[in-house]
Amino acid sequence: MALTRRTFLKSSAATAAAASINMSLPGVVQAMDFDAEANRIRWDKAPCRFCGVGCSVMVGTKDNRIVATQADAKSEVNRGINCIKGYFLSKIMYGKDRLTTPLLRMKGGKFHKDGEFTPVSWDVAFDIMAEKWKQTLKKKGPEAIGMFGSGQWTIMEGYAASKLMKAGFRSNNIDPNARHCMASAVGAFMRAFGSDEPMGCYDDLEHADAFVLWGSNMAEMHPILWTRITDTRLSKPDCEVHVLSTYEHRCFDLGDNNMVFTPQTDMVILNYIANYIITHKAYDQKFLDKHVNFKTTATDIGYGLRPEHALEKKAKNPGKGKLSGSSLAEFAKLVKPYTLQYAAELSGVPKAKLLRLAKLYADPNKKITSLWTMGFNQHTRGVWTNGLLYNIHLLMGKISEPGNSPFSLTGQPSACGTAREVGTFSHRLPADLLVKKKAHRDFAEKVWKLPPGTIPAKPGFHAVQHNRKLKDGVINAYWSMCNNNVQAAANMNEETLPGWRNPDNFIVVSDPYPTVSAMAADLILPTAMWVEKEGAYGNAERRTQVWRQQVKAPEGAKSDLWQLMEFAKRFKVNEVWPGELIAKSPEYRNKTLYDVLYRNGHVDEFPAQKITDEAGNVYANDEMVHFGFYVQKGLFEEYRYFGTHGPKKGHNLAAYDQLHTKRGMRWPVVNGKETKWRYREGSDPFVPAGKGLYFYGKKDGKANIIFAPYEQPPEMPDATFDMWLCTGRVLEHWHSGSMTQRVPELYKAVPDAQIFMHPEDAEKRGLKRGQLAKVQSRRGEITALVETRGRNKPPVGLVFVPWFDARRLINKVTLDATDPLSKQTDYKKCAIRIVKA
Amino acid sequence: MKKTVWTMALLLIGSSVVWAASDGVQSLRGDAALAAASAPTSDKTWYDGDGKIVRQYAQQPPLIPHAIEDFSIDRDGNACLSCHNWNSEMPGATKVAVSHFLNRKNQALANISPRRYFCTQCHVPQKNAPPLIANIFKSLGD
Repeated sequence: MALTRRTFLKSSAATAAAASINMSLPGVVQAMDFDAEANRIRWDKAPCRFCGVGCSVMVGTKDNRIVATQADAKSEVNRGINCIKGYFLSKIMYGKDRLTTPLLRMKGGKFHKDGEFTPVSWDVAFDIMAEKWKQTLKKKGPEAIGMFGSGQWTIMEGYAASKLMKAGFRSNNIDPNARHCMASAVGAFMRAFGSDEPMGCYDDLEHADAFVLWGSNMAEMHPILWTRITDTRLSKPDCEVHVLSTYEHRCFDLGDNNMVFTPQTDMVILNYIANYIITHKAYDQKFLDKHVNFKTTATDIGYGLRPEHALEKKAKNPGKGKLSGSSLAEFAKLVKPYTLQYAAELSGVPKAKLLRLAKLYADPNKKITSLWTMGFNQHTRGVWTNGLLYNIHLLMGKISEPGNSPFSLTGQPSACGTAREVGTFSHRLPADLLVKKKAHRDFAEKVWKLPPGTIPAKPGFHAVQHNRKLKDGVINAYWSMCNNNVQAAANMNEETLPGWRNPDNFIVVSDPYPTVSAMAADLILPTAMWVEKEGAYGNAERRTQVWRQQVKAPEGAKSDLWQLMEFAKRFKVNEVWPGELIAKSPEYRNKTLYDVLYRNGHVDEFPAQKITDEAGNVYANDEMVHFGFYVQKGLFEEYRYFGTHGPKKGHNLAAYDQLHTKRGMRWPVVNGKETKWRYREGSDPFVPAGKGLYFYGKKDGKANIIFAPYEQPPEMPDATFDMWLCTGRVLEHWHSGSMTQRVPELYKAVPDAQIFMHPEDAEKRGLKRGQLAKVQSRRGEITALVETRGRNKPPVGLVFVPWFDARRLINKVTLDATDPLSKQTDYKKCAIRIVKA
Repeated sequence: MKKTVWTMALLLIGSSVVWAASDGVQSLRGDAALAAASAPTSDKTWYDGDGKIVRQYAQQPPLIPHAIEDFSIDRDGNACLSCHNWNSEMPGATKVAVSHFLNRKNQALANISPRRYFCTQCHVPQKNAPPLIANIFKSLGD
């Protein structure tokens, strides 16, 4: 078929065209090329900088530059394969426009909100920043400062930031971009199991008989896990793959039962499967008796919009997550209306396909791994929907054993390790602790050697509120690190941009590159990235991975950790704490926040040392040299104490030194041994002997099956805005593209965000493939090229637009409605129209 | 002294691209304001050249030097392998590396490992588009 390709026919004439892109003729190898020293590359492991899979890569370094990256054959996660992004990690730090000096908006030699970005020294940058923070704290108190962090922070950076905000400045207004990505998953884990993060692990991908994808395009977003599923599907007899999505994507190429459903009706399908299991008496009665409680949740809970929005006023129980006791009989009654007929009608999926899926779950002999990411999480009923899937696995007892696994995948490299486990959310503390619980605050204050009452009890503003509060002038001093929220947060025109450019506010962005967010800031801080510093990430299967600093950052760029700790030096305790708190620890009065938080005998416990690997290679650690002690180890070990000694059990991390010698370990790690399946005796050391299975996150060891009904999304297509918009990523680009768009090979693979749409929809609007069209919503519009034959094939009535492209900001179009329980934005559904550009 | 003059000359020549010139800092949007309309763009053709695209380092998966829109990979078949499998007679087509015959347990297989089945997870074609921004990665081959 491809035998007549032009390339083939002309191959003998290839020499003539070598001047084209990146082409050259094979060089002649001479004996001198084998010179041992010239040929030497230092190879060392590091987790990938991109998604939550947590592949390990080997980083090749020569003369303080990365010269190559390759997949790590020793890593259990990826066993010698990377995706296209992972293979090009070598280039992400070398975009020509790396920032190397702080830039402050100035006019007439002074800071001015409308000034031009002007290079200033780090001292001047921190001077103005500290001045704004102190002014704000004095005038309005800690609730008027805020920080937006990241699931791409290293564990130590997230921990240092959380400490600085919650204990230093005494403000809980710190939230990570993981709010946009994992908050619904966290909410559902806590409600069902009382402990965050999956019970299973990636080993399930080899053990399962069937895979069901619920709103997850793993072929593009978790490509290496997809290689493992493909491996199992193609090599294991009778293995099947079921794919559910609101549009056809690359996973459908492997799927045995592909289902395209109407947005939001995943809830209907899930309840139908529960109904099927019950009416066919397929459930595991013994399992239910021993391991499960039944609950129902408050309904009509609104959409996390501003309280004055008509939909919030109309809701009966806005934001309510209250659970009430129930029973199997009552649960059976509640799911009864979700018949095959009803599910097929609402979802648009043919009955035969739904039935096949229900039978699969109801078959006691099939081991099923269900997987999901943003389709469930970015959902105005995300917590409920995550829970509806747990319901099915719990009804069948298909959980916490090899191959039987409801598996919440994660988006970012350390959404689990940093954002969730460290607790950089506005309501959390390390190791699943909560700011509103006194016992939890007491514990944190004790570990941190702080007087009782230091940590405020009230949860801070969450991510979506940050932008609203900036717009309203409630938050006035704001620091955004390691993310690009002006390109990410929904409803940019109406909330983010007015908030960031509000003249009352001073906004700081730390980033290696001039991102869209940097352009909206008042001060930009040039930042070291990835292996320009030592760090640790935690992936989606609870695996904590540590890396050493491989190269120096460009002169002038500093790590987030350095920035946080240096900034802390600018504040005396008596400038930020009230008198009555200082009176409890008067010795702190004249100390700096740096002294109190990071020179507390824990964080500075480990002296500076030489960092070497097994082969004797020596590595830099710029923070260690600068601060005079092993900062990363000290922070990690202090943080680890929360897991080993805190009120919530089962969060034990491996010791820092041990992690350096491993390709990561999955917590809980006890006596140097990792845990593959949580809650299962023999695998998880926290299960009491003889229990077999024990959900110890809950007091009685039982998980919750929680009924929740189908409720409509806040905005649906109508006569004016007649189509659904779904947004997301593509394989070749990571998030907002600030790294991958600067790698020429990745840029050229997918240079523009396109409008993926059905050919009939294009034709109806007089549009052809490759033409420009406008995507318009009630909030804003973008222009992009129409693609009717691409990798994503939406049904009639829906378009998909990725959000990596800074030149066409789809977040101007998206709606900032959230799950009212998790506060996570639904980026998958809003109403738009497509018109000719 | 000589070095300073040289640097200044470079700055002058390059002032339109060097961001550090006080007002020169730009995002990938170029000089378009954040609130401004989307940048114009046009459909780009696939690079469909007369030879391979040279790798930047030995471990880099080769880029695909031709369009692939007419080739499909699904459960039923993999069109790429008709030219790129080890036993294909297509001259000039890069053959799959031996690494592709290893399974997760590092055992050598007779045919491509199923985990390597979807080629486009690692190998991508290129559009004819000049990079948005230069990348100063230095290949050891340079």
